[in-house]
Order: sequence, then structure tokens, then C-alpha cells
Amino acid sequence: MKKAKNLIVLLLILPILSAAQMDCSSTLANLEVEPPFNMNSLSKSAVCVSGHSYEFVVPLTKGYHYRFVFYASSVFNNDIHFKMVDLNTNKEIINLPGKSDTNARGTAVLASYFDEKTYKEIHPFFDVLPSSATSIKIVIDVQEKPDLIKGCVTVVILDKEFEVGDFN
Amino acid sequence: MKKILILFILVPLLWMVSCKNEDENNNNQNTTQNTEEQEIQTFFLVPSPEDVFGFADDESLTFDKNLLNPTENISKYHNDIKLQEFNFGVYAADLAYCAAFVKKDETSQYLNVVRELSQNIGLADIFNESLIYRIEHLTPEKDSLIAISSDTYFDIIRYLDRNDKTTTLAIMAAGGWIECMYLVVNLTEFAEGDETIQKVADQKMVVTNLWRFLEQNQENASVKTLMEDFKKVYDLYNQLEIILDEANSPKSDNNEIIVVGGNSKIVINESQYYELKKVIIEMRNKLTQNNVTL
Repeated sequence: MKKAKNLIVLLLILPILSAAQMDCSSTLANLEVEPPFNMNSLSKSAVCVSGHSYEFVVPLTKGYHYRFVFYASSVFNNDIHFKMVDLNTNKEIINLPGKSDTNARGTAVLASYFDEKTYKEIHPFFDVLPSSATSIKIVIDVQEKPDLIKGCVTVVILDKEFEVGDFN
Repeated sequence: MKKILILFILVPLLWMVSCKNEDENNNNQNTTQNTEEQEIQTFFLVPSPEDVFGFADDESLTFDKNLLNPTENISKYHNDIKLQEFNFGVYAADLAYCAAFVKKDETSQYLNVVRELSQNIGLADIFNESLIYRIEHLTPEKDSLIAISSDTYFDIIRYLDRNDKTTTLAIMAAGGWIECMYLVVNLTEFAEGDETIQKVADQKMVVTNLWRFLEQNQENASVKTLMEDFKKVYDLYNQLEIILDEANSPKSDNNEIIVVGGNSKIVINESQYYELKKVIIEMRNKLTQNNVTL
């Protein structure tokens, strides 16, 4: 009887856990933003599937300092490639994997690195400053897997008003 | 007890089977796509009214209550779902405008209109007890008013996303953007080199995204008719020239900041600005059913 009860609990919990994993939009709601940055409404979380590519076209306004941060469900094991292209100039500004051999700063988009200055583990972020109104295209390639894997990929966009000091 | 036990086991199992079928269907669809051509899903992102009003702090903009879509207009939209969704965006923009200028009473009024309209278009769940409590206990501080306005908007977006209501989101985003621009163009006269005029021109990027987002949903009849109205705005923005601006080429000494955008600049001249103003006012007044000539 005890085994039956455990089975019931397990069967009830499993669907709830799966549903929670797929509720991508909640990822953004649960993120805490540290001042002076604010959460920008262009942030987006989407259900992605292994072996597929996704694009996010983000219009940026001059006068703001943007910070891009990416997250992905652990089911993908960081096997995702990221590109960011400035559509005004067609220049590629980022072309990096989710994880690298060393996961050193500037070599990966999803894997955290240890910052020697602050002695803290840092999740990678990319600071972008538009000199004029432009759009950024983010291309996300989710690596193919033997089985079809579904998970969330989240593009977090933070912003703050540009200050001259940001350049130094 | 046995029956309850069977029920407990069967319900989750049925749920799993239904998900599996959905996945199998998805697999089949994906296989079809893969054999033909790898399809890339594109998300065209549109900022919230609060972010469009990023320049509301500028001294050039003022608060004018007469420009808001009157709250009593809500009764005009009851029989038309497209108007309800569009004006949901309009009222959300009015709400952001009131909050940005720390108008507590108006913020409260427009929060209540947004709440009332949300019930008609199936978004009532967003206004939970905690949000209602916050509305009823609003304090007249700017941060508090802006926070409730943006939290409500974020909750709406998340809800629509979660429930795959992209057509509602597209119509709402168009309503929000049109109302923001309606307020800005009514508060701003053209002047060469004016910062707010430049920001209006810079909306070209947002308009392009909004148009593409509407295009993705044009199978919906409401979106299609909305696009017919929005086309005039889109065409006008398409005519705006992008020039090279040598003075506008900042280089960052900080190699941790990536400078984008190049040294280009979107240019709007006086006649283009007033034509845009006319088209925006016409579209806004048509879809909010305001018979006003400003």
C-alpha cells in the first residue's frame, strides 16, 4: 500500500514538474535585476527544440546601454550556438558557443566563469551601446541530439540610460 | 479506495499519452520541415509602451489629460474583439503615460479600465488578489506607479505567451505603439535637430518589427484589417532616409562594451513629420472611435 501511495505521489508530481519546465515565460518573472539596470520589455523566453534555429530581432534605441544575458534549460547541456548581428552595419558582434573547453571569460555564452577580480562566479553578459537606432539579430542554433529535446531559451535584455562614464 | 487509486493513476497517464501524441505530431511536422528546408522561427520583438516612453522624461514632453483615450469609451468596444484587443494596448499606453508623469488618480483609473477590458478578452486571471491590492493601495511615488504599470504589462505579455495568443499580442502591441506615438506627436512640434523628433524617426526599427510581427499573424482576419490601417504608417517610415553621419561615430575605450549602429542616422523632414502625425491621429481616432479632430 505504501508503494502504491509513493507511485501516486510520483505520478502526480512528474507532470507538474514537466509543465513547470515548459512554462518559459515564468523564467523572466523569476529573475532578479540588479540596479542600475532595469528589465527591458524586449526580453523573451521561448520553447526551443534540438536541431532547430531561432532568430530574435531586437530594436535598440540610442541613448541606452543594453546588457544581453542568455539562459537555456539544462536539458540542452549548453550545446547551443549564439550569434549577434548588427543589422545597420551587418557586422557580427558575437559568434560564440554556449560552452567552451575552458569556459573562460569571453569564450562562452551560457557557461559561468570565475572572475579573478571579484572572486565570484559570473554568468556571461554582453554590453551593447547603440551609436544610432539599430536592430540586433540574435541567431540561436540548438544542436541536434539523437532524441528530440525541448526546453526554454531565454534572452534577457537589461537597460539603463547611457552615461558618459560607461565608455571609460 | 480502489476506484480513487485507479483514477489517480489513469489521469496522469492519460496526460502523458496526450503529450506524447503532441510530441509525435510535432516530430512528424518537424520531419516534414527538415526534409524540405530547415525552417527558422523568427521573433520580432516590440517594446512595451513604458519603454517607448523612454523619452517621456525629456522636458519637451508634458502631461495632457485631454489626449488620453477617455475611459468611458470602453463601452464602444464591447461587441468587437479586435477593438477590445487594440484598445487594451491603447489603454496600457495611457496607463504608462499617466504613471510616467506621476498622475496617481489617472493611473488608478486606467489600471481599472485595463482590468475591466482584460475580463472581456480572457486575461482576467492576471488581476489576482495581490495586483488588485496594489491597485487599491497605490502610492503617489513615481517608482511605485511605473512599477505597477510595467508589472501589469509584463504579466499580460507572459500570459499571452504562455497561452500562445500571439494574434492578441500583435494587435495589442500595435494599439500600444500607436497610442504612444499619438501622444508624442501631439505634444511635439517639428524643429530641426530636436531630440524628440529624432526619437520619433528612430522608431523606424520598431515599426519594421511591428509590421513583420503583424505579417506573421495575418491569417487572422482582425490582424489583416489592422495591417490595412497600419500600412500608411509603415510606408511613411519606409520613406525615411538613412544617411551617414560622420559626427556620430563614438568609439569606446572600454573594450567590454560593444558599440553598434555605425555612423548612420534616420532623417525625417518637416513635411514627412506632419504627414506621419496626420496618419497616426487618423488611425488612432478611427480605432478608438474618437470623433475628434485635433
